[in-house]
Amino acid sequence: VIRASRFEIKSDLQGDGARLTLTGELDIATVSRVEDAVAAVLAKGARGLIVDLSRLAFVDSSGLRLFIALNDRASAEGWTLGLISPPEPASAVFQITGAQENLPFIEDPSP
Amino acid sequence: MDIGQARAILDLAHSAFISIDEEGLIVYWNVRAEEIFGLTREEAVGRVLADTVIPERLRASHWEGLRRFCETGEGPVLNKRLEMTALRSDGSEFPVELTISALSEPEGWSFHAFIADISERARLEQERQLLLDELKLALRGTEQRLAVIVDALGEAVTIRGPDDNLIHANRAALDRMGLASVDELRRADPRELMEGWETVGEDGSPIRMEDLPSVRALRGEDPEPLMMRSVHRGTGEEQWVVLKATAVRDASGSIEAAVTIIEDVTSAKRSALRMEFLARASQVLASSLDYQQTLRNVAGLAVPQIADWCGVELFDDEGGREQVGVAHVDPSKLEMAERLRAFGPEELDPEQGLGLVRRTGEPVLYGDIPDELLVEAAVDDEHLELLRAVGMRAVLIVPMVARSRTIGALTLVSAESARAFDQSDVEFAEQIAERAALAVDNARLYSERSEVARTLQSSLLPEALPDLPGWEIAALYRPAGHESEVGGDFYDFWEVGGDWLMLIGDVTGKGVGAATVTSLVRHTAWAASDFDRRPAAILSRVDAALKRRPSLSVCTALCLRISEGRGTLASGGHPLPLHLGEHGVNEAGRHGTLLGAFSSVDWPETPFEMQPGETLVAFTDGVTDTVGEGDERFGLGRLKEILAHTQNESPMVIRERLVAALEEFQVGAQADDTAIVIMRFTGARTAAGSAEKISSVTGAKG
Repeated sequence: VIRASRFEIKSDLQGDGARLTLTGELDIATVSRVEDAVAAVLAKGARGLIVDLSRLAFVDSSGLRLFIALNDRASAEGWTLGLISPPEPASAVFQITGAQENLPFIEDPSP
Repeated sequence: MDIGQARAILDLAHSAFISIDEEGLIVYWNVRAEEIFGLTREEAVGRVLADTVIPERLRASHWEGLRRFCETGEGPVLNKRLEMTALRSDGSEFPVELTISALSEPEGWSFHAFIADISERARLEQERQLLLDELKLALRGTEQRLAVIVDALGEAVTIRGPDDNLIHANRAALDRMGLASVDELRRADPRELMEGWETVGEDGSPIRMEDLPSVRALRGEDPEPLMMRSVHRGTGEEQWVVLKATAVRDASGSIEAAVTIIEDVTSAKRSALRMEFLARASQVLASSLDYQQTLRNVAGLAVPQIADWCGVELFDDEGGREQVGVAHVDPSKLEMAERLRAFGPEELDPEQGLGLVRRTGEPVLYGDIPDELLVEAAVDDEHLELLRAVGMRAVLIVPMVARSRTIGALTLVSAESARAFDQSDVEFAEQIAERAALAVDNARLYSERSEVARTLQSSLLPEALPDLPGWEIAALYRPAGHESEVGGDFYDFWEVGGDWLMLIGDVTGKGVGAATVTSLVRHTAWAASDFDRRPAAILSRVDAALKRRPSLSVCTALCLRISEGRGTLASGGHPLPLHLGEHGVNEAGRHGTLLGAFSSVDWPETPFEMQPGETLVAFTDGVTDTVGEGDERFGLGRLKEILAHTQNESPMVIRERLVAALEEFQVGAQADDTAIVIMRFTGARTAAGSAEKISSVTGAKG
């Protein structure tokens, strides 16, 4: 039994811009919920997606893999992805893997 | 509905129905009224009711009631069930039950009565009264007095005298005991009588005569009701009964008898037991995917309540079979089953027993096992002796069917409990077998996957750690808690041209897909090292190979090239190894890009040199990501702190410390694989060289 992580997703869709705000721990137990939330906003016609990770306390390698996959998918499907970086120490997985330089991290446009 | 229709219906009523007007004149009289009162409708209608059906002595009150209602509207006798005496046309009187209602109509009030002749009921009541009078007359002498009373009861009742002998039983009790008369009962020895049944309590423990509530009541105790199962040794009939006993005292207060009321609760208890068993069996079946263990557990649940023996056999496609579980409440008897199994025929006879069930997929019930059958079935004397020792009374074999295939059979054997199986047992056993079959089928599917997983996993780890000259090495691999999935963590050592290469990594994802990637990573790294032994070059080749895969395949890896006490290392997105040396515990090397993920890549190489007694610890993120109390992660800090206290310890000891710390910290199941490689340089052959001392990225001491 994988324990249930404390994790929440807030989803906002305005026009074709969507913002998912993730709070808590993003790991193998919660990744699929982000996948579902992304699928939901894309299905509603979002063409630009910002995933706000600034409230995450932890991200593991499955979380990292999710963003790599989303980034590849955005390129292939022609929509845009922006990630707002999590604070330390949740950002560690991005720093040690070179993801910080390779994934589309942006400054928060609406802080 | 008009009056005509209503009256047609009323003519069909079982009760007499009579209507009168305000004047007390009969306006309606149905067919049943004709029968009861002996007057035709034509004769009755228009007559004064009181003069027709009410005995003369009661007529005044009828008129008074009618008058009062018409003046005041008060009708205390209306709309309720009344009992009265009525008068027939021949002048005889008889008891009736009636209900009267009043209706307001344009021409005035009308009154309607349903009347039933209750002569028969009154007669029975009178008889009962007579019986009671007789009882009162019979109240002479305790025994007789009690006997008379209990005979009037429907439940089985026995009376036990002070010497424990049964002195009376009513008809129901005699029937239960299979006795013809009270005389027969009195002649019988109470212990012998009890011997005719196998009696056990709810917990399966035998009930002795001393445990019976009546016997305890005779001893002056105040016994609780006793629930027991009794199986008639002759017929095999099983009954669950509740015995309640009370002592009967004489005028001086001394106990002269004990009365036991025997309540038959067989059907209620059986269905409760079965529900309980099914609930527990379903739980057991769902709890584990180790189906062999699960089936053994289910067999264990079936004894002794359902049967004395329960065996589970699984069939394979080649006509073979395997007994996976056999249970008996007495473990010493299991040895007998073990010995019996040795006599099992190689090939099942498709015309009987298991073979028949296997062939037809239908249950088989042997309600009676005569000795001749055992003689016929036995292959030799020893076998026959064993078969006789089991003392089978009845055997019930039901198929376990999953996806239209008979994959096994459940065998229930009644032996020492001597109970017979009936149709409800067959149906119940089929329910169990159906659930068990489903569980086995699921588990087999799972187990096949699990087998693949284990094979893969073992192929992904080195069979043994190599003997690196000048190094002591210990490694740990703990797969995540999901048995069926291959972990994504791996480590490997190999030698190329006098150098040793160490690779530790973590393929993101799980299962066979991750195992394929792991395999690709290792083979690519081996091949790459033949051309270029530099860690960065090896990581680069792996990165390229991963990117050629059609689906996203990413991997972290740390590669060390070791030449005696010196070497270089590079990380592809992998946590940096920790160096345990005179400056404490520090991360060694620099971060590099995750493999298979990004177009822009960089794998900086860092040289290192180890002093004798210094240790390098490489690990995967399963270590630092381990979850503890309050969702806290184990973290790098904790890891460093533990390692800081293991200076000068051997890799084996360090490994044990880490395992202990992780296990103590961890809450819940392990979510991710964990791999750790601990390498201590012993300094046996340190070559002089110019390599830098190990560099530290964070410089932080844990």
